[in-house]
Amino acid sequence: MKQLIKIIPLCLFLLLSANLFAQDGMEEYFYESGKIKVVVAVVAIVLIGLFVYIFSLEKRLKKIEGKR
Amino acid sequence: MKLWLKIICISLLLYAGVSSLYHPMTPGGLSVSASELHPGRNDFTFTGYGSHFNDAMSSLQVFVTSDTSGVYCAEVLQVVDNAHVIVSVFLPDTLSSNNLGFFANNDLDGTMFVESPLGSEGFTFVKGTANDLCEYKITNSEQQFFGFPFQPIIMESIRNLMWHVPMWFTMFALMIFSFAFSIRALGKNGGAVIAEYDLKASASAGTGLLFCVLGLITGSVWARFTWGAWWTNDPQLNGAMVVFMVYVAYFILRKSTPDEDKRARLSAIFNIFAFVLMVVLLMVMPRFTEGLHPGKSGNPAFSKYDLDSSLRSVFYPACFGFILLGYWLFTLNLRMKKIEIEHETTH
Repeated sequence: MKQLIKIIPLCLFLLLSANLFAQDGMEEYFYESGKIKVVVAVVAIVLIGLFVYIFSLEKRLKKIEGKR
Repeated sequence: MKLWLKIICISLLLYAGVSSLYHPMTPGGLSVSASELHPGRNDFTFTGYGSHFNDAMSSLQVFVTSDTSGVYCAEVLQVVDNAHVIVSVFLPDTLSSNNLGFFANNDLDGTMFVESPLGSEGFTFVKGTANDLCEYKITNSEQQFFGFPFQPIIMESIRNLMWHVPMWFTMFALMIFSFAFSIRALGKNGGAVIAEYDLKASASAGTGLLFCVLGLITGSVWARFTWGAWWTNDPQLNGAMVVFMVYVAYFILRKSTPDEDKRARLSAIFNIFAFVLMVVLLMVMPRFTEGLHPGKSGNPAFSKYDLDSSLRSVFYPACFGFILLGYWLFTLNLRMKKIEIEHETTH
């Protein structure tokens, strides 16, 4: 699980950099088929946010479990 | 949180999540191929989105309007497929306005509308010019498909309504909890009772802050592809940012006060002010100023016309679902905080 958490920021950075490199193509990419990709991005952000919260809760729990 | 509440939460979110992506869009006008119009004959392609030009060819009519008074019928030259139709329209030298709109109408799709700023050279614009109205009749103004309304710039991203807006509703609900707990904390005298309410208030505000961040990020992404910038000077956006910073300040204040009783009272007072500020910045201020958020500026009594019934059928369940999810996360956060404190005091 720990390795997985370490990979997550890397993946996010990769996604971000891919977007930055495609700055010129970004507009067309997101406008394709009626801007449905904007919805995909928003749904992904909401899910990622909720999962990050769950991970942070688990991290706090682990801290206490480790001390016991 | 009770099990039946969790079941309701999950089923509401499942329903809202699936149908926000599953429902089709109602047919709408996407674009016209002409870059400018001139007096005389103009040929262009009208492109629809999810339209049925081919299936309802017999009832298809296309017309160009220069104003509410000036309507010019276009002759359908060729229906390419369901989404494209090539038409030709004859325009006179004098138009009443250069605000050109393009309409297509058929039995299946209802009326589709494209408004694009086109060049209009060679016309004389005389306001209120009378013209020979063409023989148009709208056979069916109500489209026959169930789906989310298609709007020119928003397009498919209207589905974000079910994801972005419930974030703010959830944040509001959690901040109301937090506000109520803070008030109750101030009304008590015993140290243990204050600490209990203080803990509840901070747990609720913490979870609310998560939804605030999600609302800000999703809103920023949505704004980029509909308003054209990651951040605009909309009163709602700036207000939301200030509210975010105020609640961050609430947690900084808590961290910087080591004495427990003092911290509880100080942060309760701060929280009450923060809540009032949030109501003013997010509910009151946008009504007095012009902004980009639909249905926000002006009198809220008229905003009921903004939301289509197909959107409501998914939007309200999504809001309730996310509020229940927020409450669920709040209870988890609270229990975690209690265990942490218990652990700190025993070890």
